[in-house]
Amino acid sequence: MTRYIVRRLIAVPFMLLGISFVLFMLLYIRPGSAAFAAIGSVGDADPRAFEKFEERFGLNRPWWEQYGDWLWGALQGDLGERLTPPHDDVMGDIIEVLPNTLEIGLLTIFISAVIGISVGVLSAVRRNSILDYAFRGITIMGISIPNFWFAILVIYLPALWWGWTPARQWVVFTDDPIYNLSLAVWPAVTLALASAAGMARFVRTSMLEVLFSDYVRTARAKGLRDRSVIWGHVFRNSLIPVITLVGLQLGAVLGGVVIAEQLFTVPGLGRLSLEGVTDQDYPVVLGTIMVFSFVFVLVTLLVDILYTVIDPRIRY
Amino acid sequence: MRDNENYWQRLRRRPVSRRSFLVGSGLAAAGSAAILAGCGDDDDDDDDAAAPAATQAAATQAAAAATEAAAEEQAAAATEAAAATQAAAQEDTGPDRHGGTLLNWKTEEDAGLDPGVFHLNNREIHNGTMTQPYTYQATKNLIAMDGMVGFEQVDPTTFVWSVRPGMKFHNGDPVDAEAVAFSFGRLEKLYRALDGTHTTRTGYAFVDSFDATDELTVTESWARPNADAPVYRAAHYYSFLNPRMVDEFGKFEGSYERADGTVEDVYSVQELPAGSGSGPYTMTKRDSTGTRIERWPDYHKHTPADDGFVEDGPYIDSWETRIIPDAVAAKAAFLAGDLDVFTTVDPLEVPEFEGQDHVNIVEIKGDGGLCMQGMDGGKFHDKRSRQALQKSLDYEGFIAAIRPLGGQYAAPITDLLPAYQKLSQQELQEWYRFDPAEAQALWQAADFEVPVDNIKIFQSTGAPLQHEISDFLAQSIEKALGPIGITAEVEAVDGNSWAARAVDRSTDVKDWEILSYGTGDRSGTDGIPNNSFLINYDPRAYGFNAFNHYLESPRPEIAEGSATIIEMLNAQEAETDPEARGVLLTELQRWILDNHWCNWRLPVSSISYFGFSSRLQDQGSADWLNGYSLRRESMWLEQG
Repeated sequence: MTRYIVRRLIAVPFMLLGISFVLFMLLYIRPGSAAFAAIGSVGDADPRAFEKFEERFGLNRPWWEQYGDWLWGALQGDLGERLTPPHDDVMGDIIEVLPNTLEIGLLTIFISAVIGISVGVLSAVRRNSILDYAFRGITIMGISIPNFWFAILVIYLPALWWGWTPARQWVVFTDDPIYNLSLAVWPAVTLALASAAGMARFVRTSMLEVLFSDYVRTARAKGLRDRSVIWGHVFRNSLIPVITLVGLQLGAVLGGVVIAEQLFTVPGLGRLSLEGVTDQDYPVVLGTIMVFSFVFVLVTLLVDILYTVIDPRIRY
Repeated sequence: MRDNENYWQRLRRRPVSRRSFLVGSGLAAAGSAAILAGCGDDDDDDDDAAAPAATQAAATQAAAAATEAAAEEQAAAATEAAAATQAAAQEDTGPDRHGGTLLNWKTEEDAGLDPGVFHLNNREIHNGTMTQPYTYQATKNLIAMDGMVGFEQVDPTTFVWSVRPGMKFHNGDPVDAEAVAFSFGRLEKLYRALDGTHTTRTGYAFVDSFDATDELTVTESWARPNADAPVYRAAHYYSFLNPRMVDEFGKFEGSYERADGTVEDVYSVQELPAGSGSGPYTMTKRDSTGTRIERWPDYHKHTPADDGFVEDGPYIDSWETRIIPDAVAAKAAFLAGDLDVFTTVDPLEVPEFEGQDHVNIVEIKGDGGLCMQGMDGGKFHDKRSRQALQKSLDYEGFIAAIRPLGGQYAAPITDLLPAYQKLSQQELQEWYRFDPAEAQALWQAADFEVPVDNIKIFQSTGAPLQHEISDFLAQSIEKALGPIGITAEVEAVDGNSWAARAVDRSTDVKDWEILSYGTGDRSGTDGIPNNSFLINYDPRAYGFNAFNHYLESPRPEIAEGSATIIEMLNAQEAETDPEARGVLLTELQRWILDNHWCNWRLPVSSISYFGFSSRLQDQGSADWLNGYSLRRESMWLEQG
């Protein structure tokens, strides 16, 4: 096990290196220049300004030099400076907004897991009942409605009907935890909707498979109480695919955070990333996506380790 | 029977212990409290800010301060407006106007706060914390004095400025002629040091020098006359900046070589440290969520107070400006009463605001702004080809489909400047006429160096209306020119890629035929014809880099046309008599339309809509898009 974890940890930097290279090249080959976003006007700006800008930030150098410089800096914890004024330190900006994104991400996973597992278990245990049909209908809706559309409805309709909107001035957790949670819960609920629905359906299927297996019948035959059978045998054995799903859903959550933060006006990593894309600010895009990638790689590793905790039969 | 019950049924029947009940109740109460705290009243409570109502002092003398001949018209307007303001103030003995927090928004963080370097997303800071020479309301053609008490144009190239006595920067340093001359002169230096990254150089390109001739007098010498100079001085980059703060906190921006061969280093204050400005507010917050400015108690008096000013400072105590990147979220916040200002009301969304008591939607009649179709001079060097394109649009159909709430034909200059745009709708229709047969004849007669059989309309993604405009245009062109084998298509890319390809000059023709930009559904004007919108036809600006209409063009007809229009542009810019200039500008517009020069304005909305909260009073609606109203000290908020 230890050897497995070490091996996976050794692979992490190589994975990140590969991601950064592909990402850099994608940013490099796309048309346009950060100079337009930085300098602003198409018509009025002096062409010398564009040249000077590219020279100052080394954008006129060959790609391997630009990438090499960025990589060397990244290895030392320096993700460069933003190409758009006022040319802030990218790492500083990421550190400032990362807690907000992590908070929303964790809340999303929590809400998604609580709702998804509860609904899935109830739906399986009460299969083919009205409740089950209702849950199945709702979960299909949850999967079908795009996050961004649901977010727009959550933001706009209460404003139109009741003069209240959940997209309000962001306050960081340390300043006012209760108010902060009241803000963070909305993007989290929005993001959790689809993942909870997906998870509920997955849990239901997984539970049903286990529910009819021989060892469950044996457990019942031994006279165990239903609660012990459901939670001790059925649920635990159906958890492995669910844990995999939770890990995979993190990717979707991180992707969804970009839109959710934009709509709910949360100063987070997703919004920073979107700003970087809009401004063609490649250090920002590289920096933010590398953080996303790092989190995702770590969570995947964590999920793999969790398998062994849940199912002692699994050995690496 | 009970034996057949499953786990959940049995669980439901189990008695609930006292402990479980208490724990559950506690959790439910905590959750409810959290939700209530989150969903409750978010309004700022600013009831403690009340101060005695102050009526405005007579402001008629402000007009007299503007003594120069060129400002006579503005002075007369100022007198009238000030008298009206005073009369209104005397009549109104009702509510106390002082206090409150104005809830404002913007889409992004600022890109720096130095008034001389970048101008994006920082207007609320500049207009609130700094002093400008004066404000200019384009819709009234009115100058209202702020940091100056008057100015005089001694001769066509000399201006003498009188600085308002008794002003101080926020750290107590005096605002004197030295500081003002330093602030103005620094703009040219920054431009040179930054190699042109200042994008509004036209505002001071004609200036030769600024000199402090006594404690409160600045003399400005120009290299050549410029009719728009007084209007440019109202721009926020002419804010007075404390030289000491630049000296102490300045960040090196670059160097440039003076005429005498010596090198000068230039510094900026992008963080705008406290003490940099002398305006009515000081900045108390600036982060990724927004900004806040609060009243500065030692703000100087405006005696007499010109239109839009109040003798003892602004009525509103503070401004909270949120960063809301998404338009839907901003609209929701406005509907929810979390914003006092929402200037981007889409005409088609106006009905959504009906029945909302706290919302005030204001209609502004006039030119809806940019809706341009730039034509590549590399391909369409023969004016007949450009004319053929213009005759291919079904204008009436366009207005019916794209401007259902009202549309109008658009001249090269906005009709928000009636002194300069005198072409009637009937006259404009002579140029803008849908005639497929004539379009085909013109196209077939035209000379093409590079064969064109497909018209690619190139736009940036974003506004849905932009797509509708391009689609309509493509369909109309195909309908008109399709019979002679011409096809049309739309290509949409992201903004930066669009800009890069718009100005790409690596070859002498563009990889598109028509560059589409602007939706023409809302507009303002800063009062300068060049910006509204002659720059789009100028062979030294967009005409050159975006549309291949330039003086050195290898196509003789383009080069000749460029020489003619540059001469006309220069002549009108130097003409300081408004009437004579109006004549020159009308001739210039006729020339543009006769020659189908470079760009083509499609019909625009004839009404723009602005949203304000009902509690915001005297907001000067028409000039919000010009930024003037951000400096309107007479705005006030109804309390309660």
